[in-house]
Parts: sequence; C-alpha cells; structure tokens
Amino acid sequence: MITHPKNDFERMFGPYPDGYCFDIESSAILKKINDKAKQGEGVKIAEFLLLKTESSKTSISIIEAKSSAPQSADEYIDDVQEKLSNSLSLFIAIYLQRHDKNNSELSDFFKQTELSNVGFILILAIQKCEKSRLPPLQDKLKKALKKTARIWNIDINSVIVLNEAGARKHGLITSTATQ
Amino acid sequence: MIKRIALNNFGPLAKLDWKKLGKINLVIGNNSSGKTFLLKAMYSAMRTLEEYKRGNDQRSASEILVDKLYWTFQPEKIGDLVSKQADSPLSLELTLDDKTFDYSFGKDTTKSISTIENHVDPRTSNSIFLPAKEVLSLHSIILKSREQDQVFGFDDTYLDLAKALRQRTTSGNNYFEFVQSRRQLEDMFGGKVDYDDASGRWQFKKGKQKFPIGVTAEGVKKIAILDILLGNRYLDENSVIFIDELESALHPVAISKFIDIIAILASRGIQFFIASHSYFVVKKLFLIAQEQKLSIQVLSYEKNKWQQSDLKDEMPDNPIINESIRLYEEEVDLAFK
Repeated sequence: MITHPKNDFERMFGPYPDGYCFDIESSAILKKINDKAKQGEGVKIAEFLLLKTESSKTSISIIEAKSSAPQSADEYIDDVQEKLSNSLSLFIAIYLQRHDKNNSELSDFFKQTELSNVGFILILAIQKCEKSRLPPLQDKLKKALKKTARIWNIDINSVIVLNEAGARKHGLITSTATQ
Repeated sequence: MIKRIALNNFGPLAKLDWKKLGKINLVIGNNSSGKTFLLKAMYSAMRTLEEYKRGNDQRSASEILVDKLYWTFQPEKIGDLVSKQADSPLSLELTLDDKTFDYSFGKDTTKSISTIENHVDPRTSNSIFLPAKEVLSLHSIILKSREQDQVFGFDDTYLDLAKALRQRTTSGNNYFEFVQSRRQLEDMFGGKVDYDDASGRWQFKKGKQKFPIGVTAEGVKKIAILDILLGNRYLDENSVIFIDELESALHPVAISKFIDIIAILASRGIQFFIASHSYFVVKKLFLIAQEQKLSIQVLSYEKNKWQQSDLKDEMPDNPIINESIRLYEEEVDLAFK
C-alpha cells in the first residue's frame, strides 16, 4: 500500500481501504521541501499514515518501517524519533493547508477528520526482531518521543514498537503473503 | 571449579543434571521451584570438601556432611531431605575440576551417610553463601544463637558467613581484580563498612561521618559483605560464591554494577552461582555473555522441568522474560483499543 516501497517489508503493509492511507514519504510536498534543502539537510520522514475510524475513537497511526533491529540502539532510536516527530508535524502542516491551499494530497477522509480529538499512534515496525527485544526498544522510543508526546498531548502509551507478527495482529499487514 | 552437579530426589529437586558449568552460572525459576535448595545443596557439598582434613580436623567426610546438611537445611533428621514422593534414595554428584564427590542416602537416615565417595583433593579455598538478606545487622545475634545456644533459626549459610566476616581485613598485596572490585564496590555507595573494635559493632563510614549499621541502607550492607570478604582474604581465586536473590535490596543500577564486579572477579577465577527472579539480572548477564563471548549457563524452571541454556547463545525462554513480554503486549493492546 506504500506507493514506492523501498524493500520487501514496506511492500507487505496493507492493503487498506482507499483514502485511509497517506503515503507521506512519497508526497509531493515533502519532495518540494527536500528539493530545496542542501545535501544531508532534508526532512527525514516516516513511511505512511493510516486513518482508522471503525473503532469508538478515530486514530491516525504514523508508521516507520525497518527491516531489522538496530546494532546501535541510540542512533537507531534517534533516527526513528526524528522521522515520527517530523511526520506528525508535516501532516498537521499539510492538514492546515500551510503548503497547498487545496490540500490535494490528502483524501477527503483525512480532510474531514477533526484533529483535535483524534488519537495519534506512533509506531515503529521492525520486520525481523525477536519478541524479547521489543519491550526495551519500546521503552527507549517512548523516552525519545516524550517531548513530542507532551507537546501534542499524545498518550505516551501510544508510542509502540512491533515486529512483523505484531503488525499483522494489529491489522497493519492484512495480506497473507510473506516475503 | 565446579563442572557438573547432578541431584536426584533432593527435596523439591526430583531430577537435575547441570553440566558444562562456567565461571558465572544462573538459576532462574518461580517461587518454590527449588533455586535456593539447589544452591544450598551445592554449598553444603563444597563446605564438606573444604572442611575435610583442614588443619587438625579429624572428622570423616561423612561426619562433616551430615553436620552440614543438618545445620544448613535444619530438618528433624537428614532423611527428611529425601523427596516425599521418591521411591529411591536422595543422591548428589558434584564434579570439581575433574574429580567427583558423590553421596546418597534414604529416608530413614539420621546421623550417618554410608554411601559417600570422595575423589576431590583437600581444598584450602573457602566458598561462601550470600543469603538474600544481609547479615551485618544481625551479626552478633547469629553468632550467639548458633555458637552459644546451638538452636535452629539461622542456618549454616548464615553462621558461616557471620564467622567469615569476623576475620579482620588485612593490608598488603591482594589480587589486582580483588582490589579493583573492592574500589568499585566502595564507590557504589561512597563509603565502606568496617568493624569498630572499640564498640564491637559494624559501622558505615562515609567521608568523615560514621553511621551505625542499623541505619545503613540494606543495599549498602549487602554490597559491603562482599567487600569485606575480599578484603579479609576469606575468599581467594578458587572460591565459589553462591548468591541467593542477588537483586534483593538493590536498585537496578546497583544490580548492574554489582554484576560488572562479579564479572571482574570471575575473570580472576572465582566461580559464581546466582539465583534470581530479576529481569535486570538476566538481561545484564546476557549482555556480559554477548560482549565478552562468555558462556553463562542458565538453569531455568519451566513447565515443571529444569532446562539448561547458555546466555552466550540466547536469552532463555522463561517466566521472567515472558512476563516482560506479556506486559509489553498489554501495553501495545492498550494503544490500539
């Protein structure tokens, strides 16, 4: 469901109903921002945003997908934290029409979502990661995203780390094909 | 170094054969799985070997063993140590370096163990058992209760430790790793515990201040015990240290530092057997095994049987780790609710 998947894991996500996934990494606005930036100064961004309206509370998940677990946790988590925070900010900037008055990149479902009440879920999905390594990584990511969560009034328990099995369990991957 | 321990029908331990033991070994399992029992069984065997033929002691290995079992486990008779459901006798086989020590006895045994075989050379080194609770504040009470009154209550692990602590710290050359460890142990709490001859009491010294042992933190006292035993030369490079519930009274950061010190001492030769319930202990030892490519054998009680694994290869599948995963999953489910 990602328009330009960079690897097999990214290709696994979805399928999602039309208009419920915003592929922020491939967005024209991000491209425009990064085209202006100098080498190495571009805005790092997560893979995509997923809108869910079926449960009692509307949520938007921001997903960063990685193929493997980190060798060096510090750098890895810093990178993920930056991508998730940037994605949240950029999405809200787009929603507020700061870049494009027509908001042509967002579907009507996203445009009609009342952001003041939406629950944001910040997700790191790692394809190959033993279950026992997930809890400490999740704790570390929560710590790294603490300020972002405070600023946007996001429940810190909505910062989560999943492996492929967890992503399937929670409906991020619905296809049966495995890579 | 203990290379293998095999037990049959020993209290809660129906059958167990723990092999390929290394310098640091870990026992994990839920309450009443028999972790402490195992450590005490090993400790009583080691102390039997260490007391046998020491100085002018004329007691046979069997006499020492009966004594150690009686005062360590404090049963009415030592035959009560045989598993209740067992049809066959209790047995223990311990391989120290490449020599074996084994014994067995049945339910009716009271004062004599006839089946005992010892091929281990007399030892000059001392092993010690560090119980979950510190002993410094109860030091004189333990000694009085056991040496004067000779009553049950404090078992031999407490008495031996209290006696070992009575030995005064000596100055002079000590192993580099022992000196390094003592410095780190004392740095952990910014002071040291010493015996004050004038008052006949232990006290904690921090800079120029002195505190009575009664108001000193549990964790400080626990760490101080190892510091004292390294300083008074009770322990040497061939000692075996049994630590029951290493984590008790210690903050996670202190647990981590304590285990770093254990790794230093193990590199000098001391062998450790650690019983734990703590995720931090397992995780820290796993990291040491990975960083140092060190084999750390783990015995874990899972699904009603003992399983052996090596932290150099993997984190063991066990209730402690599983609980951390269960909490993680609960947390993730909460996010999607």
